[in-house]
Amino acid sequence: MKTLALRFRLVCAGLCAVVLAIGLGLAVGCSRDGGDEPSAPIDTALMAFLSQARALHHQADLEEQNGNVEAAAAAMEKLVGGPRPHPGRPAPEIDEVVADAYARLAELELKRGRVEAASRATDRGLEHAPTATYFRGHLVEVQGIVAETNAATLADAGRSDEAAREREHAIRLLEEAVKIQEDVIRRSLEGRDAGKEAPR
Amino acid sequence: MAERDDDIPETEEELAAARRLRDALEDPSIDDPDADLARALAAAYAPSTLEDVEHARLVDDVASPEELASAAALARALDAEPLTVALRAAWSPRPLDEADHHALVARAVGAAPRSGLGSVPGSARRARVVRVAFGAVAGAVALAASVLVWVDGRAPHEVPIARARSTQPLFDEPFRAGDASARIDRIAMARASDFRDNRFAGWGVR
Repeated sequence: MKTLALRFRLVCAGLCAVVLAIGLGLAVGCSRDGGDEPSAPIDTALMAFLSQARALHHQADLEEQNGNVEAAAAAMEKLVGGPRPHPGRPAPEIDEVVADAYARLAELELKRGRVEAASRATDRGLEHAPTATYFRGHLVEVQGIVAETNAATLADAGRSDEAAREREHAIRLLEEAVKIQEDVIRRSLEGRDAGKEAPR
Repeated sequence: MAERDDDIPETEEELAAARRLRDALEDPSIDDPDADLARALAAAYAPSTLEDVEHARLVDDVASPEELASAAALARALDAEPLTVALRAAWSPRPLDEADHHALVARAVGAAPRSGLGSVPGSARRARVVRVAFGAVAGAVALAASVLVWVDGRAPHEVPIARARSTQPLFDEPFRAGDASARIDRIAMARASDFRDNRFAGWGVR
């Protein structure tokens, strides 16, 4: 009986030691890494995506200069709907480029008179810019412009009450955009004072 | 080593020793160590028949059953005598048997009275527990180290590479409408620089 108890204690002690060892190793290792999954490296795939985005933006420029807003919007649709590298891994550049493309798409949809499509584009773009950045501020600003355009459309249609509510909505969105941008500017100045990456 | 010179005449002592050996070889009753060796060799090589008288004397020398019993009793008595045991152990020690060994170890370390598990098995179990405990601790430390190395991942000599991060620091003012292409230009150029650095790092140039 005593032998069995001794063996049981030994087994328990061994299991505890293994669990503690794994926990200790993980804790120390994660504390060194900050515990976060490392973001994707800047590699060929990421550069290919950025190159494609750049080409599509310039293609949209040319189409706009030709007065072909629909083709310009199609270029942005291709950018936001295309494949993205490093799925499942943090890659802030990709999200920010996609968010900015949605903002431009919303502006192009507005030029085409498609207010609802513009509103959908800003909503989707905000999903890629969840934190306060210039990208999110720009998207909220475009959201406000979309609401402003919608209010004008409603007013033209004689729906003055709805137009008034939409104007209020637009004002709130534009105020929010200003607040985000102020916050970003303040943090940008603090970061520059602290020696972080400077604008090029 | 000097070689023997046959021209040197024998000394008186040598001649006397030669005479003694010759006499001893001719007369078996003479006691002489050199002659004894020669006699033993001759008997081994060509044994001769014993004379009746000699044979009878040898038979008389064989111990009787009573003498053998007395000798055995004496041997037992000597075996039980501590002085005899001590002298024998000092002169020609024999290995301890297992039970005696464990009894001595248990008495020396005083384990048996405290453990209450019996003298010999208790000490063996304690030794096993100590070994297992040391093994478990060493294994746990090794496991923690391996997990740490696995989590840490990067080799110490590995050059840090640029990773994806927010492009926010590239801009110092809110975005203006119509500048989308200029923004992607700036982002692409900045990251192209990082990409080149990563390639050079991969080639071991940096």
